[in-house]
Amino acid sequence: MLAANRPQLVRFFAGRTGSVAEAEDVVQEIWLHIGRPTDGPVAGPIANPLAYLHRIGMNIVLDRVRANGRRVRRDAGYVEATISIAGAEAVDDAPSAFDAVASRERIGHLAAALAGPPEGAMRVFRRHKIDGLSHAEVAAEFAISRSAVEKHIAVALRHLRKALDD
Amino acid sequence: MMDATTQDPIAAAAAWHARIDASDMDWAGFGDWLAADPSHRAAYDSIALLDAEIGAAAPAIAALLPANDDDATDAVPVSRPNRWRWAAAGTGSALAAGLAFLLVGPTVTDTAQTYATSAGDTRAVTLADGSAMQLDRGSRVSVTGGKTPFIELADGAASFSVRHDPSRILIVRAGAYDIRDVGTRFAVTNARGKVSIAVAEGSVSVAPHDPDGSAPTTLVAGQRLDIDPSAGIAERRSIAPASVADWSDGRLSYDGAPLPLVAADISRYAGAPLVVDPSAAGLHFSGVLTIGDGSRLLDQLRAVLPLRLRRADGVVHLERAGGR
Repeated sequence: MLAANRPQLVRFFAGRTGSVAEAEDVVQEIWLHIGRPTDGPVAGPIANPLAYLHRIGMNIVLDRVRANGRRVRRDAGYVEATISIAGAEAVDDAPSAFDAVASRERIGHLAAALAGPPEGAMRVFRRHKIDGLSHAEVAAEFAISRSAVEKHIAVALRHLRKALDD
Repeated sequence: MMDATTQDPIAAAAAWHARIDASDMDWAGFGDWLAADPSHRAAYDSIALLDAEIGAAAPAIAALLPANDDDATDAVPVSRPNRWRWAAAGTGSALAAGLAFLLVGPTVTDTAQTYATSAGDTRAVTLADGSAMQLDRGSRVSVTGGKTPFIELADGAASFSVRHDPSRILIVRAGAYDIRDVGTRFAVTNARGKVSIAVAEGSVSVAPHDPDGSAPTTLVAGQRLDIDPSAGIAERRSIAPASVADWSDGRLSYDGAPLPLVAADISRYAGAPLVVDPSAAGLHFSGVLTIGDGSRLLDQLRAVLPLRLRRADGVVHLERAGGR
């Protein structure tokens, strides 16, 4: 499954990481990940293998972004330098433990932004991200289309980013 | 606030990110957009990191939100606060399931509703009988039955707050065991067949679901039972009732817990096997760990206990540092 899609994945992750060499590494890690049966539960059946491979790779890249400290937000906080691909490999390199204690102030800022404007978009975002409903469940609850849910979530993310940068 | 923001990388990044779980996500188009300009990548990083941060902190954020929601609903019609009270009590799908039960009658009781959480999220569900279920990170349950719910915990942990009603019993199946309850608060963990039950209020009875002739075990408030069927061990311990399902606010608290127990919890959150070597099996831990995304738990433990890590065949072994 991976071999046939390899060129496509390398091209995508070259765009995602900015480097073909890193993209090769990421694709290698995707292969390691799906080859390991003890990994965490997969949410639902894999209806679309290519999308699934992309999603795994996206998580791997995000972990690398964190690990490399290429962070936009500089203040110490919740997700600082976390490496979570496979706890087993990451634990040795993680910095001191109690640095990871959640920053209450940061969480206060996040909660305030989530309760702020624009109200409709934030309500949709909270139901999805805080209460854990899927896009389809949020769409049903608010009687809107899934595409409208995506648009609300995008608007909310954009405002959250701005609110927290200020 | 303007909508003509297609050239704003943050807005475009947010739009792409909101679609990454969509079945018709245009991955090639997303790749082209990312590759078009280095600023696109940076914008996407900042959006994805923020989204992941909110996901990881969701329980802590949720704890701060209800007050804010009250403030925000000042100016709107009365129907909305009601809606939010419902929302706070559980998820729309659980309500929908309850509604379907009322409309269609008992036939829907055969349909299982499945709930799953990712490694960073917890989730609150109101069951059709009005009981509340909270799912821990990385957990999966299926719920059947309406007024007499049958809940199968396939993996992970869940806590239950059950309304007292003598006419029906809620059953939670975890691994090879059934936990029966008539009105109480308790939590169940199933980590690959190793089952733990902890009771905060009331009592539950625990029995293998294939009856083996043994009498059911009754657990009362302030007790915890850890069962390891493969080792043939069932151990009952006293706990602080307040510590039951402490994972729901992002923490794990222990009071003199044997290291193997703590390691089992960490292994569940980190999604990686963790083996306690005999040299360390006698260690006990008291304290509070912050769950986060699970990857830092072991590190927090190592900061206070004399532990050394050894890796063999992809499995992390914990052994006692120093000494012999």
